[in-house]
Amino acid sequence: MDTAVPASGHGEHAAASHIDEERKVRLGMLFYVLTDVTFVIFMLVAYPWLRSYNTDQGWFPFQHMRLPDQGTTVTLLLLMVVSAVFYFIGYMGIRAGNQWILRIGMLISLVLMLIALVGQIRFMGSQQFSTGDGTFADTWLLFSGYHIYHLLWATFLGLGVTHRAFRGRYTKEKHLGVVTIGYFWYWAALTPILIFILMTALPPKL
Amino acid sequence: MRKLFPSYLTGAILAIIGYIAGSQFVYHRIGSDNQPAGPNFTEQGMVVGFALFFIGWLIGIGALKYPFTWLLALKDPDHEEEMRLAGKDAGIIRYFKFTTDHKVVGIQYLVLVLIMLGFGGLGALLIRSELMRPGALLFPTETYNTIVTMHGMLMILATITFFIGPFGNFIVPIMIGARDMAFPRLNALSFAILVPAIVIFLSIPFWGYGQANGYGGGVQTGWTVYGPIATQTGMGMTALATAVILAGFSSILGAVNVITTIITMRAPGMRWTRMPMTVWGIFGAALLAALGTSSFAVDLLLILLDRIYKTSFFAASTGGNAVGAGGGNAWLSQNLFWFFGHPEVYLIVLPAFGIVCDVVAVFSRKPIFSYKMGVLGIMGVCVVSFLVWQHHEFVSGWAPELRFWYMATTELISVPTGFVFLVLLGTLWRGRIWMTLPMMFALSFLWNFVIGGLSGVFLSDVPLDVQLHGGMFVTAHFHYTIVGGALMCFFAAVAYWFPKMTGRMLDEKLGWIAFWGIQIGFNVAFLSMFIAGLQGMPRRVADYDPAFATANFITSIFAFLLIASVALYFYNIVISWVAGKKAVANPWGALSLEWQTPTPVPLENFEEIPVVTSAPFQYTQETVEAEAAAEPAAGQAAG
Amino acid sequence: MDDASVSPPTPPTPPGPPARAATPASTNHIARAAIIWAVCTAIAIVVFLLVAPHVVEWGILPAAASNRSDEINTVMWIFTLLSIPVFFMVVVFGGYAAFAFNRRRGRAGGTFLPSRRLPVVWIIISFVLVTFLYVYGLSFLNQVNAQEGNNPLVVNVTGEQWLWNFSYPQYGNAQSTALELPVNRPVIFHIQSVDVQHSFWIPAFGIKQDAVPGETTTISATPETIGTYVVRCAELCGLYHAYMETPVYVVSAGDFDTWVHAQVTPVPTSSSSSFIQPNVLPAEAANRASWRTSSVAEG
Ligand SMILES: [Cu+2]
Repeated sequence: MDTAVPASGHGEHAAASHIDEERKVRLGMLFYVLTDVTFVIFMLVAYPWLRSYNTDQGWFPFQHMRLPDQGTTVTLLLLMVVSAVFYFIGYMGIRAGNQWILRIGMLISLVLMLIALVGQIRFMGSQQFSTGDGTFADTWLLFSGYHIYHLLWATFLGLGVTHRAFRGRYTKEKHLGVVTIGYFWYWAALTPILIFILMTALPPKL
Repeated sequence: MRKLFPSYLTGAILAIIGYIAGSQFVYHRIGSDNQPAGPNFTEQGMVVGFALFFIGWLIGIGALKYPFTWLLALKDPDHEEEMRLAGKDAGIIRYFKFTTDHKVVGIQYLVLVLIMLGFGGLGALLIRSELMRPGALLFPTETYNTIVTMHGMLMILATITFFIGPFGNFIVPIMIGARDMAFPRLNALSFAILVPAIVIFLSIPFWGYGQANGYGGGVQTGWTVYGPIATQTGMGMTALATAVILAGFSSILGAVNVITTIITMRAPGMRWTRMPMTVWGIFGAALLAALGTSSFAVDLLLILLDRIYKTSFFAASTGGNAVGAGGGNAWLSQNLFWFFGHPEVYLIVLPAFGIVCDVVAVFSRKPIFSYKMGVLGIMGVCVVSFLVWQHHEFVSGWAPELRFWYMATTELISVPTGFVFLVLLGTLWRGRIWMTLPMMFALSFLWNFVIGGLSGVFLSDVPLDVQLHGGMFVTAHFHYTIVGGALMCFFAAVAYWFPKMTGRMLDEKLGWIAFWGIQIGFNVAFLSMFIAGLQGMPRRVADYDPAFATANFITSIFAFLLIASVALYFYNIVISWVAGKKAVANPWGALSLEWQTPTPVPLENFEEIPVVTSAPFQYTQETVEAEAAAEPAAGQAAG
Repeated sequence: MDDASVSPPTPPTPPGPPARAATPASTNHIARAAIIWAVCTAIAIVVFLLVAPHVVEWGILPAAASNRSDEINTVMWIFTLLSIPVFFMVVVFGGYAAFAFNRRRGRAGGTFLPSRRLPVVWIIISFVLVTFLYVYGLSFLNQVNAQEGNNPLVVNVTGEQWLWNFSYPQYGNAQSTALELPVNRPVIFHIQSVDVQHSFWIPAFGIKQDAVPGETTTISATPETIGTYVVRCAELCGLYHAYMETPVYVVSAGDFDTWVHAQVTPVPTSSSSSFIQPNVLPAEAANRASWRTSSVAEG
């Protein structure tokens, strides 16, 4: 029988006693990020797919069309990476119990994220092509748009974490929020790198 | 009055305000003049309106309170606040607001799922009425195709929800000895997201119906919403895509929650090998939901972009009536769809496997026969189901050279499925079988699902699939698996857990009548549909060749019997819920944890978290004999 | 049963004498069920073998008019024959258990415990069955993929909402909206679509292939029986999908030559705009299928 023998004598009645709350929250966030990862993967599939079929020469129809500026792409990408690095520094700070490293790290990473967000929106809007100008343009705009969605989320979460860091809500022992939001932060920084690798390995022009 | 704020009432009010504000903002500030090459402002307004509808709803029911208190670093909720949010002492109103108690969420899901099944069944009724005789009987094809699409999609949404939703929420946490789900707020949120999704979905027929673009309003695509036709069809498609993306989001959040709960919240001693099979089934299904759903969400997102911003992910520009700008590939849509679509059918069926094993064990008064094999079966199906999706594209022309491989995986998946049959037969054999309503439904699963599975083997074979694909044979096959397999298990699960969830017994007599109506109606209707498929009748047609008349007439008549019997079963649920016999805590003599709690289950389920010491359903010779001795001679009275 | 929940767990005990007393030891349930299973299977197979030769005649299967049809029917017979014992295996043993071990018969159960052998046997049998079906299907798969040699007739098929257009490139691009084929000559269909996906299906030939916008797909068959058959669209393609049907005439080689030369002046095929007016009434669309002798009359 699935015997439910009440625990006796061990004082094991408190809900939390056998549940590792930290592990639970970390696992939940990891699974959530994992679903986002699958979403990005399925989105990325569109790029090699449409490129390889190139139906009716529709992948890159206007040979004079200017590609997105590589320099800006790399700059925005580096902004994300540096932001993630500062986030990690902040996290290491609170792990060592240093509130100010956490606060400075969070603040700098948030500011960089905001710059990346504004930059990405301006970059997307400044392209010479628009939707309907071939499937390369469509996929590029799709990735760009999804990246902006990522950045919006990261900014929202970053605002919360930074604000709470300045309120002193995190301690050496309890800083779960910094850890879990970090997962999303790193993933948001990793996405444009993946896209960049994809577009370098399979250049837009056939 | 204060109790009504926040509640679903305020949610509905803010949602409507949100829709009007969003759509009017687009029409007045962004644009309303649709040019062939420019954005489609009408549908852009719809999407923005739906988004604000959704956000207004969440604000109105108070779901966004916590994120913003978190953002502003206000006081973290204490235990008292959590209990208030879980609906402590709130009375009946707690079912009509954002409540975190997993049992409330489970009941909310159950009611919503029954409503969805009701609408889907109405669709089935209309479809079978139209197909009763050849010729255009009731509807123009525009209406008929929209009904087909809505029936398909709504039933899919209902069936992917109807185990994870009601039972995954209500039963699983108690079964594994937890006080609640891992993330109670997220749990309430995933239900809260599903409600506006269904409301938006049900609005499909009202969008652009009868519009003169030559391709019909509503949605003309079928639930598969393939590539370019989804771009071409009426405005209802935008509503469908938005609704299903929201529902998918809800399903992903729910799945993440269920997975985390099962991994981290098990009571002491509840090892993986001691979980009831239901938990395994729902765990496997949650994995599929978490990993597969994104694929369909991407598909729908691309469809929305194709429709609104005139991108061309799916539309090629060949020929005169090309849809969209060109360069797109329709096979991309098929693959994105079926990479979700195939795991999705196992998402429906895996919990059914688990539940049917548990029900059979309880009513055979035996431990589950070869438990490990059952687990292996469920998890094996879970893994292999990601490797078979191309069998939906055997005739699509995409990668025909891969067919031998997908044929192999598809036939291979029948092996772990067979394990479940062995477990069921082994558990039944030499048991002490108690023919209750849940048990009858569980046994009907054996009959129906073996037919569904065997017909699936026919379809997995490429040469046969080339003939049968896209025909009524396929329709009959998957109805045998989903209705005959999963829906019967849903009915079994409702009957089985009804006493625990509602505190009342489901009326056996009415249930018995409904059961036989359902079985006879279902089997005759769909066996006859197999014949129509063999004869060469295509799916999803509003009208057909008189050669198929006899088979369709029989199908329709018995489908009416099926629908009437299901309606009777629903009536039974309602009437028993209101005025049924009061149930004791453990009417079935089941041994899993949820039956050891009092009925109604108190707010945090257990006074003390139990310690589990053995595998599930360890009925022994002694206990069963003792039970037999204690029974009246007739042995028929409910425990 | 509430007390059961708190009693200490006991391992499942082997059947004791009282259980034996409830069911006479002489009853060999496995043997009984196996006999029932064998009888049911035998009867079903006999019925199936009696019925099978007549199914085309009774209209349960479409007329077998190409070299593909026979293959498909053979596969179908083999699969059905193998399904029968599997189906009865599950149904008979499940049903037998439900009746024989019902608690109204007053026996106390819990005696059939897992042996190591049964699952292994079960796994082996299911693998053998699946492997057989796979290998068997594979041998036919190669034939599905095979291109027809020996002077094939090429037909270009174009799906369009909601009709089929055919052209014969070997005959000066003769065009037609009905399909006409010579008997016993291999045909290769090159299939395209100008709008959304369709699926080119000739049930009597046992062939089906999607028409995908922007791509060309191919399928082949050899018609073997003179007669009138039908092309159906098997992929929901919008408003009048149900009426997207066209006759297929399989005629003698001579008749085909006469016919195809009469088509050589390409009749201006209904271009997309002139085909179906946007607001066409369903009844009008139904009339398009009026070659179906009685459908509209009955409706
Ligand atoms: Cu079609």
